[in-house]
Amino acid sequence: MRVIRFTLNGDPVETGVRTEETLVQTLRERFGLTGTKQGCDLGDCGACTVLFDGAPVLSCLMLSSDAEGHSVQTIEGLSNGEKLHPLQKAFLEEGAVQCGYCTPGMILTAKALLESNPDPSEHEIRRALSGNLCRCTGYTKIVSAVKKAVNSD
Amino acid sequence: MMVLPEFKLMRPASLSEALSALAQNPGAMAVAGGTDLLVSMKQGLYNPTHLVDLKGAPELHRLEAGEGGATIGACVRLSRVKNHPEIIRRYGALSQAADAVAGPALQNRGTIGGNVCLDTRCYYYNQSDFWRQSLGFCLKKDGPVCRAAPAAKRCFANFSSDTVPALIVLGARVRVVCGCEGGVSERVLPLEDFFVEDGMKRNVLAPGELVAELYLPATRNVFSGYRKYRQRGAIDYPLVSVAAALSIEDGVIRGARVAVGAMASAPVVALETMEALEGAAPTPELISKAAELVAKRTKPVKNQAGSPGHRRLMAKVMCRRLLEELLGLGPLFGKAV
Repeated sequence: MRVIRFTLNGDPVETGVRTEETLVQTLRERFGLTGTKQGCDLGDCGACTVLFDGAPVLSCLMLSSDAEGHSVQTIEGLSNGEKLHPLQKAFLEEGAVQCGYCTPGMILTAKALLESNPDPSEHEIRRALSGNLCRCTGYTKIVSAVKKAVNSD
Repeated sequence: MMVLPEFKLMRPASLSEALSALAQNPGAMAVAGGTDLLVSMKQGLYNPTHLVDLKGAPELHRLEAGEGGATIGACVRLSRVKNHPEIIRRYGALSQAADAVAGPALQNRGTIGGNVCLDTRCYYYNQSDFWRQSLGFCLKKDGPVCRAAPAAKRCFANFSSDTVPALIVLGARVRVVCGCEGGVSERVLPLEDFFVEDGMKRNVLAPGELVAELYLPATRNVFSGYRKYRQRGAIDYPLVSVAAALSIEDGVIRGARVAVGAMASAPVVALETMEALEGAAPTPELISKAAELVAKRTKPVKNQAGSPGHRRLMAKVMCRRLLEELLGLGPLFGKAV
């Protein structure tokens, strides 16, 4: 066990983690933040995507110890109380959610994209989301939701 | 859920500390981004006693690129390589290759050093412990025989790095370091000499050695690019990849370099294609002829998706499209996918 301190969804947190613990395990099991999904657990599917210092990373391939001193954002940190983030709103309105397992990763990846590129083309949206698999294959609506969030900002 | 086996984590603050940590613990392995190694550890392919985290060594984070060449530290992230304006401008193949590794989220953690040292891959190897045990273990891990080519006495696991073919055609050299009495010893070798055609050994690194940096020579009017063929447009490892670099002087091709990835256990330099291009005037006929020769030195076995014949054919197609793009001939194709 070692104690790590990092910023989680804007708040400073401290927790003990096992050396071989991955960030997705810490988020789900120690903080109860089950919005971060554990999919393949092998870095293929993108379901476990979180924002690490603002950039999307695969939390199943990161040791929790590597979070020490950094900032992590999960899907739970996105809305402002009851007020949904424009991307969450757009995903709801466009019906871009089927089983919902890929959605947190999709939304966080899209958030990082819109922060670095506020007006992406469809090609750029698809490239940015290319590491996030939707096994319901609902990609069309996911892309239109991201476009809608661009226009709503 | 895939659980990591237990290990001790060491976090040295400098390269020399990292090297002595590796030297003192024979069961230790080095880790940087972890995007390759942690997956293999979850599958039971590696069971290191210690992981030596290289990210704390500032010497390994240097990225300088400009008129005189480029120096890229082993711990520089793939996304940083891909987005560096001087790399895009002078070493296009490398930027495209870094962009072709897995997906964008992985590129934010994976490093160039890790991609150079990437483990070789095979259908029968990159599987969970349960899967491998069910079939019977393979030569590369715990087994008596290569499951892909049972009659052979060697391992055919596939060389799968994207950045390496690009680095090779751009003339990269690699600095390998090792802890020794009183400091750090080093050797610098051309990157193509770093690899060995053996799926198990895969490169010349001895125990305790590390890749520290990559050096790229200055380029003048060099066109370079990278093409990757894979099952999906992202995430997957290459079934075939081709990198090329060349320049045009007085209407003829000079300094042509072409390398093929994912067709053997090491990258393959396509000498026949390079010979056909060198000194010739760029024409569609020349491109077709040169591309036909690209798979000549490869003999892939059936150890990943796509038959060996299909992969050899696609090597030629990828090579032709890449040369057409670099030489401004033929229809315009999109960015490397």
